[in-house]
Order: sequence, then structure tokens, then C-alpha cells
Amino acid sequence: MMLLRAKATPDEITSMSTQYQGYIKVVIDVVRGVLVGGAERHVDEEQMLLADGSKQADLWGGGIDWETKEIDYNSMINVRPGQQNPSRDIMDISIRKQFDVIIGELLL
Amino acid sequence: MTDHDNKQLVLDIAMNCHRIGGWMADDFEGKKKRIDTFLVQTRAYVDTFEKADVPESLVPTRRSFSQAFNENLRGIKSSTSDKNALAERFMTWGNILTHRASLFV
Repeated sequence: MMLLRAKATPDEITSMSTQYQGYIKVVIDVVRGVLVGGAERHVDEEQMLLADGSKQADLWGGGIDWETKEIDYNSMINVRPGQQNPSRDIMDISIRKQFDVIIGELLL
Repeated sequence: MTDHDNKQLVLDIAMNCHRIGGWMADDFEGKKKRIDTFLVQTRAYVDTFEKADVPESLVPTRRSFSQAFNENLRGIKSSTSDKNALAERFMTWGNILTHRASLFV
């Protein structure tokens, strides 16, 4: 897995896509605009961002399928009743939009 | 089976993976019976999927998924496996198959 603060290079995309053959699991800090991708589990990506200075409340998980360029907002780390998100999906539309923007800036 | 049928099959497998993963994550012991029911159903879907005529671009996905599914089945039966990790693997494959179903024209 790797932490991205700038647009990924093609080699970095290839590396992150290896775990799931073209699908990249990501955790994004929607406030700092950084992303960790390529791990088997979101929790490991989350830990990397927390170690990098992120706040838990700003971290959201999902994925992007590199073959279809479709994004999903599904992760076990998203279950946060205290933030009005009782689901594994990101329910807040504005957070989803931020998620999309950062994926667009760092991956697509 | 038509492309439409095969696409629906992939989506059915994806949905079951999401269900199984969710039940495993939320309450593995309490939902064991339901998990087993849906694993049997999914096994049958996967057997059909393995023989289906799919776009060339989907062949590697099918191979990887079949392998992962069999590994997950072994993991569920094992008393020492990390059930949360398995649950996440099911849900991840649910996401991947949902996306890849769009590769059917």
C-alpha cells in the first residue's frame, strides 16, 4: 500500500492494483486531501493515515475499480453511529463528493 | 445463457458476497445458519459462473474470484481464522464483482 499526497504515477497505480487485480481499496482523509491505497484491508490504510496525522473522523473508506473506473463508498471502517453514519456505506452526499474529488485529483 | 443472464448471475453472486460478509461482520455466531444457506446458494452460482461464456476481459476476474471464494470457504470452516478479515474479503469481492458486471455489454 502507499500514501498519496500528489497524483499517482502509472507505476504506482499498477502497484496498488496488484492486490485485487485492478481494484484498489482506498481510505481517504477528506480534510487533508490525502489517500492510502492498495492494501488488502481498509483498517491497515486507516492506520497509516492516523500515523501520518489524520483524524479518525476525517477518514472514509471505499474503492475504485480501475477496469471500469467506478467508485464505491463501502468499508467496514465507515460504520460510525456517532457521526450519523450507521452503515458501511458513506451516507453523507457531501462526503461522497469530497471522496470523488480526491480520487479524481490523486488517482484518475 | 445470454450476456444479460450472465451479468445477472455475477450481480447475484456479488449481492450474496455482500450479505455473507455483512452477517459475518455483524454477528457470525448468531447468523451462522443464514450464512450457511447463502454459501450453498452462492456455491451453486459460482459453479455456473465458472462454466459460463464471459467476455475475455472478465476471465482473470473469474479465476481470481473462484480461488478467493474457495479460500474463504475453507476459512469459514476453520476455528482459528480471522472472521472479520474473511467478512471484509467477502465484501470486497462483492464490490469488485458489482463493478466488473458492467463489462458485460
